[in-house]
Amino acid sequence: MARQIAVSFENEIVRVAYVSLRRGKLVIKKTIVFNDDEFDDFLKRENARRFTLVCDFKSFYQDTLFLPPVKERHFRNIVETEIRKRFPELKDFSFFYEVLGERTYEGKKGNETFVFAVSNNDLSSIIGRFSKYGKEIKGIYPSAFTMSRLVNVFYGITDDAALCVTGSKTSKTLFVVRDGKLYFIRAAQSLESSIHDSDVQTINMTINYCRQTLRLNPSRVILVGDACCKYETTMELILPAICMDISHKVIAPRQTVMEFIIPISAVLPVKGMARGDLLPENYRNIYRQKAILTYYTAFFIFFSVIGLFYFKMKYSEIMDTKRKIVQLISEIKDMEPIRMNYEQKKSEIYRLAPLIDLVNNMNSSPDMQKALMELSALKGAETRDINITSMDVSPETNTLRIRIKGTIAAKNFTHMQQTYQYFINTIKTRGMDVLSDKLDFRDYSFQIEVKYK
Amino acid sequence: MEKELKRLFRSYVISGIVFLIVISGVIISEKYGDAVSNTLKKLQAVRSDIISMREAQAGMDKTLTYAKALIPPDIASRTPDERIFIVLDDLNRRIKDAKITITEMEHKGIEVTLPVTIKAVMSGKLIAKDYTAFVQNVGYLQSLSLPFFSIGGITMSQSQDKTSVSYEIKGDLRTIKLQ
Repeated sequence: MARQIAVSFENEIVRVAYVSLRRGKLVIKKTIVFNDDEFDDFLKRENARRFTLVCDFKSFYQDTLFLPPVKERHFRNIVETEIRKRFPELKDFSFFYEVLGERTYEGKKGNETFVFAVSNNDLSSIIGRFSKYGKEIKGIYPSAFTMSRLVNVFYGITDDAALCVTGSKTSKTLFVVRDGKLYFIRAAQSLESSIHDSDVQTINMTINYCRQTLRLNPSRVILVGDACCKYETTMELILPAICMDISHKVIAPRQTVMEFIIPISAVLPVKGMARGDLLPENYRNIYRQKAILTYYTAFFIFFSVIGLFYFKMKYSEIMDTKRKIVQLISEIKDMEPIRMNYEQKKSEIYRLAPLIDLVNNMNSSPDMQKALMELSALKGAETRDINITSMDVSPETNTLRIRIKGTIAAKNFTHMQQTYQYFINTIKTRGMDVLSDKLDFRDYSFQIEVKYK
Repeated sequence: MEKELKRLFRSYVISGIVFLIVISGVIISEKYGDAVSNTLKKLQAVRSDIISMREAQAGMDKTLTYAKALIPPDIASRTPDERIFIVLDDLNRRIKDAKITITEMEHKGIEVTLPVTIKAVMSGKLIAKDYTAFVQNVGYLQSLSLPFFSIGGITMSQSQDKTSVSYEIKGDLRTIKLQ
């Protein structure tokens, strides 16, 4: 937990405690006590911006209401409405409530609810003291509420009611806690912060009131803070009294802990503390808006700085690229004669393209002269009996197709076959492919189709 | 507190405006940077193309030299038809014993074509010599240039009595009109 500053307003006295959390224990770093009129100077000097407040409100409204059982999210509205009905003089207020338990009243089931309300005017005057110096309030709690949470932590949540007493110079605050909940609060005037006979009388009367009117039977009295430190009385309390001692949970001298128990009660990490926060909704909204504006402003500034760096980097890149472009343009201008020369030659080639195509077309045909020379070489000693009667040479794509027809002057079939085969082989050796051949045994004629490349 | 809130709000608005300006600047510079990079790439491509043009010129020169060598000196002074008839007359002189028949001159675009048929007979004891001359004539026909002789087919057939061999060469004399 980061450092927190808790401030308690105990009538004319203001106690300030600088605390932090270490391994589950509260560490009190510094404490100061002011008179109320010295506090503004402290706020002016103090650098810290956020404070948690605990107040003994001079004027507050409390009651126990019987309310219908409804869903949690509607219950708060009903409580607020009831407070307005019960206390019509309260126009603008902040409150907290504690559901004490289910009860049946006049045959109807309902929730018995303790309510505590303070006028927002009172709260604004306290908050205004801080905002004058640019300070913010984290939370503002009634001292009875924060002390009641302490009672739960240190004495457990029990069915036994306890009457707690805290004191300041001119008043005592008495409150009843049972089942971990606040049942009743009373503020009474007193002469000093310590316990005297008049205070004992007030405590005894309050115990009787609890028994007779509230039907609560406190089993003990818990004295808190200054009320515990100084006990100068001749009268006896009608209940046993104990001192609230939380020094085992706080790293600080015992005396300091006892003296500053009220402010540190607001910052102890205790469950349910937020329920008693009386900071008005409009201040919460203002703080929320301030936080949002601050974060967004920081966000804009941070990313603007990053954007500026990026922009600078990009600018350098762009200038570098532009220099290269200028250089390239100059080079290309110098190369213009090459381009013009090329264009000139290209147009000349286009002009001569039909001639080139024609030449290529002509050159793609195989050499007929060579083919005819090869054919003339077919006749030899071994093929003298071959009589070629016709030859047909026709060009095809990249080849010549040659059809040879003839007869064989053979003595017998064997001779005919041998002569014919020899002729075929000779054709093949002359670089020609035989596509088909046909030998007619009846008239010793043949027909050979050959491909020449 | 309201003063502080107003001050914060003013800072928020100003910082927001600055942020918007900076972001706009970043976006514009990004797009401008892309455009400039594209321009650089295109110019580099142009330079590369011009270098390719320079390298291609050797090949172009070779092609032009070859193509120009094919062009006869009288290309400007004679029409394509004239040049075809000159070659035809030359053929007549060269292949004396052959019957050369022609049909209509065809003009297809810039190409001028004249179908030609050459018929002759090789007979008697001179068949071998005639065959040699025939092969040489075929070689000659193949060597013609503007006009070219495109041989469509050669047919040779022996006479019934085996004393002679007749041949027929079919083809086209082809040339083009050069601008």
